[in-house]
Amino acid sequence: MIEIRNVCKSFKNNIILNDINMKLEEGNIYGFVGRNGSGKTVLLKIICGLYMPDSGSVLFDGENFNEFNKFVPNLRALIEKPTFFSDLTGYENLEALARIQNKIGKAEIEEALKIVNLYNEKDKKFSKYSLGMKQKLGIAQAIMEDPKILILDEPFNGIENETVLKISKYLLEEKSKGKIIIISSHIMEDLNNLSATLYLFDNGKVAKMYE
Amino acid sequence: MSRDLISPKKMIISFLILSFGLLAAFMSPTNEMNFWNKLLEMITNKWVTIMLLVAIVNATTYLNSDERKNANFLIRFQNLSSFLKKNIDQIWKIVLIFILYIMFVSFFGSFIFCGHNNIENINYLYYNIPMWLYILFYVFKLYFFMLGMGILTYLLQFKFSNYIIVILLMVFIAMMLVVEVSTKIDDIYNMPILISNYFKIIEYSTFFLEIFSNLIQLIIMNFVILIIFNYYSNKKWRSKII
Repeated sequence: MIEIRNVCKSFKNNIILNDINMKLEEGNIYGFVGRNGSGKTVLLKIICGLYMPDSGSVLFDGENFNEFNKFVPNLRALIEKPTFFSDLTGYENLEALARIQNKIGKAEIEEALKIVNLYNEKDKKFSKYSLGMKQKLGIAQAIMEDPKILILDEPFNGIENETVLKISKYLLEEKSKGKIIIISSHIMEDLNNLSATLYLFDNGKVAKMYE
Repeated sequence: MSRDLISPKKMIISFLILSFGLLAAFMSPTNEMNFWNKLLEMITNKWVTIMLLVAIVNATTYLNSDERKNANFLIRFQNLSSFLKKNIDQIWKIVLIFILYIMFVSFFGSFIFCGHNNIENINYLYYNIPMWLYILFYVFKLYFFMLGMGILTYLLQFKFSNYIIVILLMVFIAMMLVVEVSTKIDDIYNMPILISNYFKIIEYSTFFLEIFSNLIQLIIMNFVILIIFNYYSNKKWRSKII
């Protein structure tokens, strides 16, 4: 379980998150919805350990990884625009990322590419990828290592409906395996197929919650 | 394909930079016709040192590129410290490859320049030791100091823009070209502290004193690196790195 306790964050006196509290449990998909600048991406970065909260804490099964200056193991994310090596192919980029922890091999990488409908373009250079293909590769890198916690920030930007449905089906399967999946979007309809618990963000606060 | 080291484009640029330095060293006027003297002259040439440093800085800018500093990359590490160590791990390999290239070209350059009749071993000018031993010592010294410079420039790039790094590099080059140490160093208290002098041929009263001075200089350099490394390993730097 992820427990977010009284998290506040501001940048240069501009309050981005104001006393956020939530409990995110295994076997659920959570949707963070809100207009651009409502604070959802900052909260995702805090959950990932990329930003430190000004106050409050994020606990993973009761453990605060920030306290020990560690990143959360078994958490993968697609945050904002994904960046990859432009002179490598899609497959080589995933291989380079997989090599950091050496947990998976060719089969898992190819499987992730198939899930996001990018397998046929895996040998193209990243520089030749369209916006949608880059986004698919971003999702593939997040799912390829079968993480327990999956965070996807605006994952469906620029992706065609057919692939959105395929990825949504995959996410529902992963949810039933007991994973915690958090997806942010500024369009509520993006999350319709995912039976997600929705948190509506406004001005750095959770304005509403829909279960 | 491995992407543990450096992009092929950056590698080609770095080798071109190194080749310019080596060409300048090869073409520099000399009366030296002994192979070992010419070899020492080439690897200690200030343009070789300067271009080696430029090539290393060029390589470390790649380690600091957006592709290696984004969220996807960073959260796969245990912490910031292991992320920095992974990149530093690349720097020692890069510096080793560059030094081996310099040695290879200098060796054959000196052989071509002097011919096969002039390869008898001689003693080093300042100490009563064989020239090959001093060359070996200098190569090790160059490797460790350049490794330190590479790590320093890599770490400084988190705080300073590339423009500032280029300015610092220019200052270093100017110091290499202008500041000279002409006096003989006869005790440890007179050893040069200025970083640009670490790469120059300086006369010490004994070989042992030169080794000892260089060790102290290396310890000072590593101490500075350790302070900066620990500073950036702190969790508050996470958001600044990506």
